[in-house]
Amino acid sequence: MITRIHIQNYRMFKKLDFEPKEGLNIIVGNNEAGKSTLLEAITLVLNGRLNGRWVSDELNPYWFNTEVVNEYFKDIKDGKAVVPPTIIIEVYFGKNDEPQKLRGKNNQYREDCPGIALIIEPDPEYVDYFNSYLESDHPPILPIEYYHIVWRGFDGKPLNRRPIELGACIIDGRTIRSTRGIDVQTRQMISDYIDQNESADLSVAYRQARHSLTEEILDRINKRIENETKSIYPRELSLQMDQSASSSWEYNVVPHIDSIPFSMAGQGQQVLTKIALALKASEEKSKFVIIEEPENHLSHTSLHRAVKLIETLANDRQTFIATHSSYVLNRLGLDRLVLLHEGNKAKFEDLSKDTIDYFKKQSGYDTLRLVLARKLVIVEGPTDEMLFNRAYHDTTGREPIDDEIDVITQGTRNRRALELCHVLDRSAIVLRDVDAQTPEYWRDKAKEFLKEGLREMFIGEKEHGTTLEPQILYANRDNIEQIKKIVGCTDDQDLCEFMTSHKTESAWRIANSEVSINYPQYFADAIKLVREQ
Amino acid sequence: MNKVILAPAGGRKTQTIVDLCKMGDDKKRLIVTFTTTGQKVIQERLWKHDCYTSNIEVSGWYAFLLNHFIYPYVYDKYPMQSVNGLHFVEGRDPTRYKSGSKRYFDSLGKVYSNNIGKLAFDIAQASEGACIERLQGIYHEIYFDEVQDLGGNDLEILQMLMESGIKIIAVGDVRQSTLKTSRTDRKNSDYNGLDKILWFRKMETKGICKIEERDVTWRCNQEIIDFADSVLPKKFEFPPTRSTQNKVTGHDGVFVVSWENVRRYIDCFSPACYRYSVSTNTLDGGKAINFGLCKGETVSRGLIYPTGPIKSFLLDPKKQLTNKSASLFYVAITRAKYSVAIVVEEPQKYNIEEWSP
Repeated sequence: MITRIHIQNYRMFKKLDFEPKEGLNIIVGNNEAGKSTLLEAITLVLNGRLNGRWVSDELNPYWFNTEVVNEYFKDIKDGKAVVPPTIIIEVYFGKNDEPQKLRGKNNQYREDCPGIALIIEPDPEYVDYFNSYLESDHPPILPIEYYHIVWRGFDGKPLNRRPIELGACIIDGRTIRSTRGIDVQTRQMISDYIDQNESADLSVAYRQARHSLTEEILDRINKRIENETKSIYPRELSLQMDQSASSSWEYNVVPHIDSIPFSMAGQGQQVLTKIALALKASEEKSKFVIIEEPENHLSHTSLHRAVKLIETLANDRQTFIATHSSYVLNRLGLDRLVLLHEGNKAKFEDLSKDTIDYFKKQSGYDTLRLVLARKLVIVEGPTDEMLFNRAYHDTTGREPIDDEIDVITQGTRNRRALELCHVLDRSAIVLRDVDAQTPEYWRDKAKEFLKEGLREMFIGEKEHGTTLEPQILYANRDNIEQIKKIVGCTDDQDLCEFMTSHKTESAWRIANSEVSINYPQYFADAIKLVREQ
Repeated sequence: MNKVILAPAGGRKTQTIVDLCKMGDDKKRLIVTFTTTGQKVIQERLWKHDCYTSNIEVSGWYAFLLNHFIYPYVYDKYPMQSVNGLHFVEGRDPTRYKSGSKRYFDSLGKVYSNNIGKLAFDIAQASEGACIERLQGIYHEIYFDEVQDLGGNDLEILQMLMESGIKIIAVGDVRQSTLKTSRTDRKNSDYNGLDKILWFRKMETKGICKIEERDVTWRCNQEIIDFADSVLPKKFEFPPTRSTQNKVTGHDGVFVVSWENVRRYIDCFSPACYRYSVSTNTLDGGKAINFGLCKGETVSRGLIYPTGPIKSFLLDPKKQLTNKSASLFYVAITRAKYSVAIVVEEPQKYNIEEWSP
């Protein structure tokens, strides 16, 4: 299994040192956080290829981390002599993993284990060209034509092709339709699925069929061509079957789903088929499984099936999944989470088993919002959410969302949410009703997860009311008539009772009212803190 | 148990290795030979015996040390050194006045071939067992062909391997100790050349290998092999060799030929011609192969242009050849299956049948 991944200067990763787990690894992060890049880097270093093409053919100046490149050219401009940026991607395997041949200490940490490194560095043979490029009036772009690619095992020996033991299945839910009707990864999976003997049989039969086509039919046609063109064109012209590598059976045998060609099948079906193929490929040929956004193109029920398949897959193979879906994350287990944030990896461990199981059961729970929000405010119900948003707007003139604050309704389950935030050591502001207790009671209960200035709980004073409605009335005790008007309560009704029994309706009216009201002090305190964060 | 199989020329040493590869099990095997010709011979035999699979690898000695000792673990001994292949040393020793890592690497990071054994051994020790552990993870068995050519620190590495969990089978013929992987390595110099036998015996006493001495040649006929045995110094007590080569061609055994008759002889029998070195006189300066370069070859008939000491020895067996000359001469004699002729000035003086037309 992969025990460590080191990435340096590759795209958004200035430096990433990541120790994946056995079995499943679920990678989440906001857009541009580097999820796909991480999976891409793993694919790259394992195969020496990207999208079926050699790295050297795909190399592009934008592979280099922009920040590093900018720093480099700034230093050059300042006349400093500096080492040109180098991309390093390394995967480390367990010390006793196969193939032992790749074992050695040729890696960044001088660790004695098998592994593969991909290094993109200035080609020593072109150092002079590199220097004259720097001396010329050059744009701040790296001259990648003077770079070379070193792909080698930790034993220090260059690799020519992927070691057989390190097969990887790549399933990309984002499916790009290839002109061949089937993408490279899927073709690879099909070749992997077919065993050596079957493959030999296929190959022979395929060649024979092509041969007879040439002998019997094309021959006749060629004779006619010869006769008809001889006088016009002095060279021999004929039609032959394509004999190049791309004409082997692998390129012409395509999977069908219910008799429909793979490329014509729905994209959801395609994803499911790929996962199923990966599942059946021999363990040797697919030691690692890499899945990009399996949720794409899948309906809820299909996703459910896909997740089940992935769980089975990850039983005996190390699996990496990038996902945007809380459903996928919750089902597969929060303890498998790897959070990427702007090219960095957040630590994620020590979540209680209890909480993991809890989230597993709440597959609809919006865990990813909790994990990914820049700033987080957790409230009890929709009423609180509407009123908090309005209060925020009244205070700042802006919506919370404009300030990257995600207000999430969690009911009374805020303890689990807090634990998750605590494990991630992220900020969180919790607003809750005091109910029959005291604010101190609630804070004390959540004590282990709170941290001053980062994760705080805001609770109304008990004497101002046990729930939000009396709290509002207390805050507006000098202007009760206005509240009555806004929520539409008649004089013969008790205002507090009316608001409590028309909870959502009242809140909605207040939130959309032309006039502003006062909010409880704990709202103001919460808003103050979230703005400071 | 590790085995050292010592067998005379034509004793099917290489074939023994090929036979081991035909076991049909899943074991990973590495065959290490010392000459590039040796590698080719082995590979061809494996193809011919239809037993070349991905479980078998063939490597040269230098490549073996580079790939399994130096590349993976150089940092344990020289943390800042990058390795960039082999610098084959011929002639003058470029490392003579150098010290530290410069004794082992040239400015491009290429490893000097004459000190590679010492470097590999130092790295293996610095790695605290990782080198050997790694090899154990890759191969079940390692076979060495022409093991008599190992010397100096190479022997330390061989010992290390014999003490590991890998099964080592080494085949060779001490009588043919004509090559040395390094001319400048002074370690184990007590065991150079024909004295190599003593090193193997020492390892056997340590209990890390068993020596199996074979006394049969499938190549040379009895007359030739008796003659070859007779040129080796008696003190080594090599057992006499038996021959299974019974084919009679009408011109069999060992002969002397006078210079006047050499041309006729060559026309008549088309022998392969061997000489000590380029400076040895040959008929009209005609082509011949140096003694040291013909190892591993099999021919029907041989013609040898001897050196002065060889002639003296043939005239008077008391004038024994040095170990090295004896080995070289032994190799030259044992190429032929049916006949060996030696070119001399006065054939009648020799105790060997003269050929004349």
